[in-house]
Amino acid sequence: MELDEISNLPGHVVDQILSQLSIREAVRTSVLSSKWRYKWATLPNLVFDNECYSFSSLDQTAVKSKLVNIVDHVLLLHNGPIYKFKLSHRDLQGISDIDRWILHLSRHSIQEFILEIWKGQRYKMPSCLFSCQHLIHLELFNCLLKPPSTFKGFKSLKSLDLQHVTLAQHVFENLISSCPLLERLTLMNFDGFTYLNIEAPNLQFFDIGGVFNDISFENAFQLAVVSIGLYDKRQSHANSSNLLKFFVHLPHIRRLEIQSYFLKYLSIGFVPGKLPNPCFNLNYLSIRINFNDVDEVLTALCILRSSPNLQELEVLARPEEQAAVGTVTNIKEDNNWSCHQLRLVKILGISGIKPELNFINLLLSTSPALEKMTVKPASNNGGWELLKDLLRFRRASVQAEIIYMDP
Amino acid sequence: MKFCTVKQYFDDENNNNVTNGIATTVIPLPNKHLKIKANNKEMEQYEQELLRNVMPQELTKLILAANYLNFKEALDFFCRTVANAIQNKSVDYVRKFFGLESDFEPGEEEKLCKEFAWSFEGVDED
Repeated sequence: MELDEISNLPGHVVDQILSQLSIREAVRTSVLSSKWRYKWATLPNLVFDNECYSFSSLDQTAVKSKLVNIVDHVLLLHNGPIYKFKLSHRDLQGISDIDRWILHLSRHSIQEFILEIWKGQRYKMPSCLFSCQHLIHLELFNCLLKPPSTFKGFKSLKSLDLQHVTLAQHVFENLISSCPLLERLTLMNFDGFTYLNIEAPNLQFFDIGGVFNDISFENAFQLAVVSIGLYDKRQSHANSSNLLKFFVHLPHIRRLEIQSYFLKYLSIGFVPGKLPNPCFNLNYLSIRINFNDVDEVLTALCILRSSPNLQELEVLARPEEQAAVGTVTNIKEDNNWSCHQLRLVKILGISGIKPELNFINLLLSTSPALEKMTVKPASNNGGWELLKDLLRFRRASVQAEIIYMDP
Repeated sequence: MKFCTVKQYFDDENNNNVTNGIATTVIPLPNKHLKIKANNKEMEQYEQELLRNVMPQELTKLILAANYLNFKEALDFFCRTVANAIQNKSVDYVRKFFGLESDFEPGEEEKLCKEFAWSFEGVDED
């Protein structure tokens, strides 16, 4: 009998088919036949997002009750372990039913938990979240974390993504240092803590954007990909050398993005011509820089000189309103330096001022392997002048293409 | 090595799990995959073609073959094809597609539809 072989497929294969569908599509299969009644109920991944119901025509109370009914219904009928649970609906506010669902999940070996509260205040995570010891990935948006004093960390956690969150300073530090397997950490728009002392021996990926006073790494020798954006230009903490302190614990860094005002932070304190230990593994660098600030330019040059294997460079200029902090007329050059591996360069948002031109000139003359440099100014003003200058610069690489893009 | 079970298959004369027809579709897949891996649009077109030319029962056999041969990429692809085929379709359409018949008691099906009313809103008509 050829018909209906599909109902006799192995369970994990049916799971695979049904998990490509949204939860409502999967649940609908229970009406197909008696064999299909509970096939969806063993799905290990449950996602409740904008796909599962469109509430556009309903008011807030109706939305809340409809969403709660759906999640309750599914969770009650579900059978077996739940590995992934995602709740992210644009009409979702921080309703207390979430606590009840997290409690349910904590009893079902949850491994991936994603909660996004799109509207309203920070949602305070219930203490049962902190007892989910099987968690491998935790992602929270618009939440507040205050673990109980008995919390000893997530021993299996490999990936943590916190955005628009509030945590106290000690909570943050304890959280990071008590998750020994942590490999990926994303922190965006956080408050409640301003000192970032990252102690994570297995950390490989670090992406942060927010306001902080100080950042340092300890035991982060695996850290390969780092992206840091400091959103506040006020520098409060005077250190002996932010730059040296930052790089001393990042020997294996491969990709680095310095965004917003982080370069300004790094320029505080002593800036050497070259770092004591070169970044041998750094092959991609992106910097947001204020060319009017001489310290920032020197810091950028220090990093470039210390990255012998850099292949790709992206420079994003930020023209500041105020007058130059100090004019860089001629960057005194250490002639022993050259970017042997630099192939691609992008320079965006410039206006054609002297420090920018000097910088470009320097790059062109020290990169014998350059293949392409793309220059895109911030506006059309002075475009011709910029082009004339670019044309004149000597190039160390015979195959370098300079591409001028219209703003 | 993707094809650890393939050798076993060729060695085993009386193989009920994978008929020859299926083998000819599944086995060239790795090359096809490598060629169009980067190109999503082509993959979609290939998927459409497969759907047109291959009956749902055949698709089931393909899935079983890919599962038996432990060929993850093919299995992912076929499962995704089935999922795309039944997405947003009515219960009757899906039943026809799978070759199923409803074996519910008269009132049972209505009761189920009512219970899961939230999942039925906004579905394609045949």
